Amino acid sequence: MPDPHAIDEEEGNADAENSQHGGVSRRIFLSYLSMAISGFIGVIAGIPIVGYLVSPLSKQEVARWITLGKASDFKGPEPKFVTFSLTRRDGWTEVQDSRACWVIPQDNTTYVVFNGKCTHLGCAYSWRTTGEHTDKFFCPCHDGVYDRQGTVLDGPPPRPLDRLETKVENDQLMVLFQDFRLGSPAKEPL
Amino acid sequence: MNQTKLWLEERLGVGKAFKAIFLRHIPIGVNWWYSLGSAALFIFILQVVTGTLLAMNYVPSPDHAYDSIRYIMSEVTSGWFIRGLHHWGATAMVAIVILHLISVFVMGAHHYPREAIWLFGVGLLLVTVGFGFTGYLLPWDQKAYWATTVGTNMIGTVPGVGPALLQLVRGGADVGAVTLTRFYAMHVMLFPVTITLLAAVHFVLVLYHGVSVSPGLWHKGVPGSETDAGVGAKETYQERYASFKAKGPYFWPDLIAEDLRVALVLFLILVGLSVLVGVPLDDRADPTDTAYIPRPEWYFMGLFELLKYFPGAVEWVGVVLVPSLLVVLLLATPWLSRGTERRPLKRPLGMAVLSVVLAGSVFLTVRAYQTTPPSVVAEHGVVLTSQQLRGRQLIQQVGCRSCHFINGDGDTKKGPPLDGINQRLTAADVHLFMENPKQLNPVASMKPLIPALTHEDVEAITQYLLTLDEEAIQQ
Repeated sequence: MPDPHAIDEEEGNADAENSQHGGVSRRIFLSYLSMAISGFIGVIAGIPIVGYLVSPLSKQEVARWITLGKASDFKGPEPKFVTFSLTRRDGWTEVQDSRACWVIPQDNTTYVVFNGKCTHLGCAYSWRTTGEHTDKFFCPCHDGVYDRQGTVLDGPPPRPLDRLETKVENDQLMVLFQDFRLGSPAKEPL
Repeated sequence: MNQTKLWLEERLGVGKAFKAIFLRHIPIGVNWWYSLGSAALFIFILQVVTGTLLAMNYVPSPDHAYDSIRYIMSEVTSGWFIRGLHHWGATAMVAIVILHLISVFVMGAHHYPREAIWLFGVGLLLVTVGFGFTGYLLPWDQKAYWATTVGTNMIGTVPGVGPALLQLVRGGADVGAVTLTRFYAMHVMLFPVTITLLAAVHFVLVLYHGVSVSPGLWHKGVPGSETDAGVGAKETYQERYASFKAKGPYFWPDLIAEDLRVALVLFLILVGLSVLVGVPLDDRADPTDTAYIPRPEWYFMGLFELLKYFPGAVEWVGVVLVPSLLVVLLLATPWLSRGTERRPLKRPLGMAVLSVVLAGSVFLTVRAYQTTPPSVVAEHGVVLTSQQLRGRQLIQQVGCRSCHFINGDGDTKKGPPLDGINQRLTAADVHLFMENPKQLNPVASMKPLIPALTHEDVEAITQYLLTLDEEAIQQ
């Protein structure tokens, strides 16, 4: 009794069949047809699938004007740390993110404001009043050091601190808050 | 290249595996109707892909489920399309699996030696239905909530253990947060693993036994040497089957090309349904809404109708006994129907049983749709006309709530709330505004609804919006 589950070893079988038809054999045609159909389904389904997967790329954070406080309260040479919360859409929900800025009063009417993230990898840096880095901004993650103007003095930060646009309206100090790409020499908004 | 190929072949044996699985003869007489099984596999793969994508943006919690679905529908690139494929794919999968089962039974393909393939197939059918039942709760809209409430209540009617079972299935007294996470866990973890294992065995057994020969041919014998010698005898079965295979085409590419053509047609139908019909998303689930008329998916409608015939104390007969008997009947089929005759016309008893079951199911399903009350939905004391209902549905489809607050739900910031709009604008103005917002308000950021919608659609939305009385909704 022949084994019904035997594998067809003889390719000759197929060749014999092919030669009967002449030209492109039926089997070659069918294998191309199969690949074409699979390819077609793959592309038609694949385009929206890729679109779906890369959908987050189309979302951009927009810069927003944030009120930091009474302008006349920002006085004196010491940089001041200001925290605030941002309402942001996160998928289908709204979340409160807390963010921070450093305000450096220049004279009584102008202010320099830096985004509170170190430009290296986004840690929170701070103004030192004692120790090795006195009167400098120091980031404890990888020992980045900036001066009062945000210029890099030491460590790995690739660019100066990110300065934000400011304005004063009705004695309220406002800042156009924005995050920037970290770890890059260029200041690119996210 | 050849070196790489050889290296891989020696280690992985891909060529040998390919030969063993694909370069095999299949019996003569196999045609596209034999592609139902592979069609089910194709749709299953589609469900896995689309389901995984949906899960990336879905939260199984009553607080977020509905919003995350709405987010998928309106904000994620092609999210509406992916969900459309998943929704229609689910329906197609149930339909194809049922069709496959009927076809196998009619052709007597479950006879010796394929009884085990049949049993695993019944398992696959049950898991498929389980996928359907757990899947449509997930959007957490009115249909989801109410159909699941009714569906799970049915389990509670079982005498004795019913209430305990109900509590177990729901994870609590009512359909709620725990029910949703349970159903989600089953839908995305338990069932996919189960169906994959069952399908793997089912498929390997099909490879082992080969595709069955069509009943007519089987009884007639291989053309040229027609003989009915050994038609029914187990001893000569293999020899007879081999003779049909010897002259047959190959699995690859002959049968696979056929399978793929069927898959292509199915795929195009699913794409068409997703694009042209879309997927419904009802209002957010509201457990206090007494006006909603719950109806399950079409494949549960027969069962739903059956309940009307078994009221009160005997309800469990319709709920549990009849469906369980059907499953037992399916599982016992290889033993109840095991004669040597495979031709349907010569198996009157089998065909009679099948006809009765089918006719009963079709009758119940049709009755269920006929007796569904016209969707007269009363909202805040206003009974909606069919035009207003259409408008209500369009608001869901268009996704107006991603910008507007409508009927107590939606975004409160982007666009003006529309409840109480009847106090502010006339019907003509509402229509005109949706038709071209800039005409009435030059700085409006809303896009015109026409030509995406027809004037009829816009009017339907207008008529619905005008029913939304602010005070009534706030109560």
